[in-house]
Amino acid sequence: MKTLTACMFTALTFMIIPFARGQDYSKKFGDVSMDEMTLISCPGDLKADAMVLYDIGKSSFVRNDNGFYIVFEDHARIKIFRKPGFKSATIEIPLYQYDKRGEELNEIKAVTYNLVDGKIKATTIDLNTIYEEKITENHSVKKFTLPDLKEGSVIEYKYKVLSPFLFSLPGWDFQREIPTLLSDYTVFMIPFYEYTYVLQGASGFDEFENYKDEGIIKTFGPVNYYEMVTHFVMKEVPAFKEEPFTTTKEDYLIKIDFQLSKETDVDGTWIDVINTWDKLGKDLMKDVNFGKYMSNCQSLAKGLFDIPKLSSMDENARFYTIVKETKSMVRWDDKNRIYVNKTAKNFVAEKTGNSAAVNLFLAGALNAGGIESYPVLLSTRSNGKVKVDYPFLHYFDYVAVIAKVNEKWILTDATEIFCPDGSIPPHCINGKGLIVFKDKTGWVDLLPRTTGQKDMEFTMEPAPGRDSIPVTCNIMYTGYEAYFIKKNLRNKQDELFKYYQSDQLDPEGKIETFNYEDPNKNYVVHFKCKIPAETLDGKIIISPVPNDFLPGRLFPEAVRKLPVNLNYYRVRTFTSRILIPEGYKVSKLPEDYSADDDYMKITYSSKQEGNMIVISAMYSFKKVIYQPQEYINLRLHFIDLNSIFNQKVVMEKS
Amino acid sequence: MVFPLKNVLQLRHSGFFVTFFLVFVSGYLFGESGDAYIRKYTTEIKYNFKHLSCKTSLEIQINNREGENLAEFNIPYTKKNRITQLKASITDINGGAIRELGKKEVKDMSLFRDNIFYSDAFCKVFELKYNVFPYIIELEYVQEFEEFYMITDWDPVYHSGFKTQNAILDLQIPQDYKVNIYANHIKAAKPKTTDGKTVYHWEASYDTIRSDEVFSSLHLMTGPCVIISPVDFTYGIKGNMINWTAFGNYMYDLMRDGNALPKEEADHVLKLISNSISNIDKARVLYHYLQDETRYISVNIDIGGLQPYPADYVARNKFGDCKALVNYMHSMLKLAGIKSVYCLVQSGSNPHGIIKEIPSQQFDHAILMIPIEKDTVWLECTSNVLPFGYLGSFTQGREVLAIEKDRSCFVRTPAQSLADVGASCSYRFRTEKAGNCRAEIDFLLQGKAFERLATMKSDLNREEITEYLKHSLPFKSFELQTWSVDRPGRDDVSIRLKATVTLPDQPRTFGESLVYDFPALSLANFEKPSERKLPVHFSFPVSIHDTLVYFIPQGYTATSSALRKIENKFGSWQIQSTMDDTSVTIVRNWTLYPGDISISDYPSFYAFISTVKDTERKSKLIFKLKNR
Repeated sequence: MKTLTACMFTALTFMIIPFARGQDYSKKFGDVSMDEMTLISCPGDLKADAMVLYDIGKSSFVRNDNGFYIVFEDHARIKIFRKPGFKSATIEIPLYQYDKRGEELNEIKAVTYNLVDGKIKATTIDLNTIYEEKITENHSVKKFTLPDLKEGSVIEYKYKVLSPFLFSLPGWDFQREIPTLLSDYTVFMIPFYEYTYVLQGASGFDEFENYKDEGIIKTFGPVNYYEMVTHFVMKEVPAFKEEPFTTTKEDYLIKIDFQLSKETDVDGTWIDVINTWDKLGKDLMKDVNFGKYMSNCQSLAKGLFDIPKLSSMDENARFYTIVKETKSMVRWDDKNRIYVNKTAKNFVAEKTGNSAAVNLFLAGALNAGGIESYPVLLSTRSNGKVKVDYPFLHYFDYVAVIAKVNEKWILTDATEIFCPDGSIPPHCINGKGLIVFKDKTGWVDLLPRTTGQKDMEFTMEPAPGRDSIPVTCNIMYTGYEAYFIKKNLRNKQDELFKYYQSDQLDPEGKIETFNYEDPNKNYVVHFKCKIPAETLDGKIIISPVPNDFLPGRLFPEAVRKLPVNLNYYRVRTFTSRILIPEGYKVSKLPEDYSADDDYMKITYSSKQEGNMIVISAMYSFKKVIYQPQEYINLRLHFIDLNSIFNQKVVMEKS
Repeated sequence: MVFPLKNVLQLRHSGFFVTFFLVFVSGYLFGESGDAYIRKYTTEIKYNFKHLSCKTSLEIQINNREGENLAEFNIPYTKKNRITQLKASITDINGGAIRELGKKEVKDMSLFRDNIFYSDAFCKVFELKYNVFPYIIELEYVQEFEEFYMITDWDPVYHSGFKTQNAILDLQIPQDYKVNIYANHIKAAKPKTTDGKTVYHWEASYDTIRSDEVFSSLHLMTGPCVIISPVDFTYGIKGNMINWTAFGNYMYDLMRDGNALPKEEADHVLKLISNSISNIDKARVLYHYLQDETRYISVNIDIGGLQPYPADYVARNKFGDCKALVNYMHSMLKLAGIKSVYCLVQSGSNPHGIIKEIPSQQFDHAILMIPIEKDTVWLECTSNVLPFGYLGSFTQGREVLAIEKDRSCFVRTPAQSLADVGASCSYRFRTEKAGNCRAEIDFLLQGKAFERLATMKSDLNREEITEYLKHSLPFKSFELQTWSVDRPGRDDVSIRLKATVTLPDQPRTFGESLVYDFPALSLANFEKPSERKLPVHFSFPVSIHDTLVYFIPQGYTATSSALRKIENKFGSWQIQSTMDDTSVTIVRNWTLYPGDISISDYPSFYAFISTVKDTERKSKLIFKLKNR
């Protein structure tokens, strides 16, 4: 039997940085060499504040009276170069508990080594300084920090975690936020459990072995077996650096994850735990906390919605009415889940629930209203991407809905009241979603259905001798921009004031807003303010795009290693109308500009219409995702954009 | 997880943990009373010489989704102060039952707080939300206290962002049980005694939502409040709070046995100071040793919120919280024969001040005082970078409680003066063409800026400091080219930041003129006088001396401008320029004096700040093309 199925998922290939010699440090606990103690920097990354000398892990199966459990062992040695690297000396070990069973941590050893008067001094951790924190109902963390820590210290720790959860063979992170000289993980498999693994962030290993350990024959019931050993090694792994405009670190870190795929009994019979998406989907539809809940909601919805009235509507109107009514009828508890945590009856009574409860109800309601609808499993952006080739349920954390309306499939959602009906919230735009039909599954691209647009109109009335220019501001937010500003500021005067004050526009009087309640309409904000007037030698100088509405330094870094992921298409437009004061004429208008390529569209134009100067400008991104190699061009566009939008209008006495 | 402070006396960040909890409502969004409000907020405290119990009852009306902050609950507790009899329900506006809180809905989690590595505190987390507005949440729970040193620190504010219509505090204690009571801005309670029990009753409301204001003293003391502490109590050990001296004795007793150092450590300490003659030299050597060998890690277990870990804990682990590190330093000094005094302090740039009328635990930090040779040396023991004898903006200029057996008293820490905080900032601007200006900056920083940068230099890596500088230098738009931070000696009270930047939007071109904007002064956005409700408080002064040298580009000419000066009792601002053949030099001075600005003085202060801002904005340097 093949005990471990190798699957590769490639992403970024990482650059090998030439580290010095190093994988040959002793791996015996406590056997620290003078070489390690006297290292002054990471040879391949001189800026590193600390470096993993090695991190060696092992997972194996051990028997007890209740059957098998997994023993995960970790042994790491880390060199601390500078004080900012001290954070690497705080170790947190996550533990999982479920249904009165839990993972156990034991055999912790942790030692700090320092060079004192030319000799290596070891300080062992006081076990009383190891603490446990409960993070959630099912997750806790044991944490400790190494004693006697100094710049130049070497720290070493090891521990074991005993886990009864055979479905969850520990994965392994080869990469950390500090460079790693050697990362080594070995899995000892038994013939009763088969796992699939997925490698992320690299195209392969520096060393890989898969062999039968013929040392000791083992017995379980009538079965004699050898363990199968799989050994993964990576060397000289660079530090992981987070960058803005990315989804989650978990999408990019070099690591392997495992998923139980098959269980075999001692009599040779076996169960495919997960083998295809279709099987997974069928199981879900039979699940009381998924498919059956949805069916129950469909029945209950008939009593909650005015079905005869809905039946009289065309399909499009019916769809939007049901989505709208569902949003006002129920509320999301801000929890992303793929299973519901209550019965349909309770949900209808309490009217609150997690994303699965809300959207499976929506799917049920749409079906009750005669709109063919199905649940869509997806992974939100902070949860990472789904690997579509590997049918593992743990990738997902959210349920949305897809509905067939006038022969067109529409992704929709009822959790976010400010998200336009018939679209999914921005945090759901992340790769592909799995449509769970009754007896099969399919994939849908989770693409933004709407853009995020912000249209700004300024009417400026400068007057000679005045310190400031009265400005009337009309700002219109469309699509996801409307969603975000409504969600974040909640239409509250104080929040709106603070928001615009941070843009150096100091609103005067009331800020008027329109369409806050309606997610399908643009959010419009109207207020008056004053901006500083600038005069020079009797000339009036005006920035048509007020300074703090400039695109700014969105991309300050010269280079990037990770793609820029903007989430959705973004558009900005500016229209400034500047009244020419009596007795003045235009002495300089900004130059027109136009650019349109694969990266961005930028336009800027100015003209005089009677006693009015009209400046129209816009920029839009052509892509949602820009690859690292495209970044330099994107950044150059932004540098140009800033200088173009920063042009001035100059008026002088006529 | 963020917990808004229900009351500043109850939870603090740096290791002191007072065990009297109230509900914390998660999130910190300020709502308006129209969104939700607390209809009734009742606290009933009973003590019977054995147990202290506190029953909290709440009736909250949620009017819309914006008010649902009040439907999310985190109730902190510890194993010694467990929550019992927790029940909650939702009813509709007419009192019709909607649902009750299920046991499984209540999750027990660790209570996480900033700067605490570990605490044994937990919280009960749940929410009660419904989709038909308005609805009413009724919540009730009892907290039993095995040991305590505070009975209550009460005010009618359940959540600072939402009004409380009716708040009630009831206290029932045995007739012969003595307590200290401090009540402010509230109708005095008339104690009633029957059957050997004395009962007190207070009522108040919270009608006007308070919001944070720039540089205001914490304003929680401006509303109704009741603080009650026991005269005799047991918390770890027996204590008494009849007066501050008694409270000092309790703290002293808590620390009394914690000064022993392991022999190896004691030998090392004595060796370290063997070549030092004066006490001040010895103290300096030991302070540097403390800074080099230990780090700040805060662990709060059991009564650890008050009691420092003993010196041998720090000697072994080389870490501890403020109390443990102060105690460790105190122990080393004691071994060296140098007297030092453990002091309790309210930390932060803008502390609300100690209510001396009621002896109680009102502190969140510890520092050390060494009375040496007719002078006093103050030590901040949690910092690895501050100079010997330097407290900094975190604890300067305030009263602290010095803990000594039978002699505890309030002592004032030295205040930072203008000379202590002065920053000298030099800029040299060179321009080849418009939009291509290069600036060399050389800042010599003291005071809070020094403290911040010295800490960053120690604790952050170069990339992190670069990121900070990219957002901190006083230019609207710039590219940071190079930088260095230099501090020649560890006991220097200043730090030098040098950098070169390019300014893509400087100078601006208007016709034949080049226009330069000056680097921005950092001035807070103060509220308009019509909106300001609280006095302004500056704990320490501001003093900035800028020298800006602009080299005149070839073919251009400049003129110097006259001195402009704005000065009054709040501070001063002035700018002056001089020039020679190659450059124009602008000298700008900005001073703000420390102290309080009353609300009646606020309009003048606001006018002063506005004038400075306006004059700053209009101040520009213009180079004109020479006549050909």
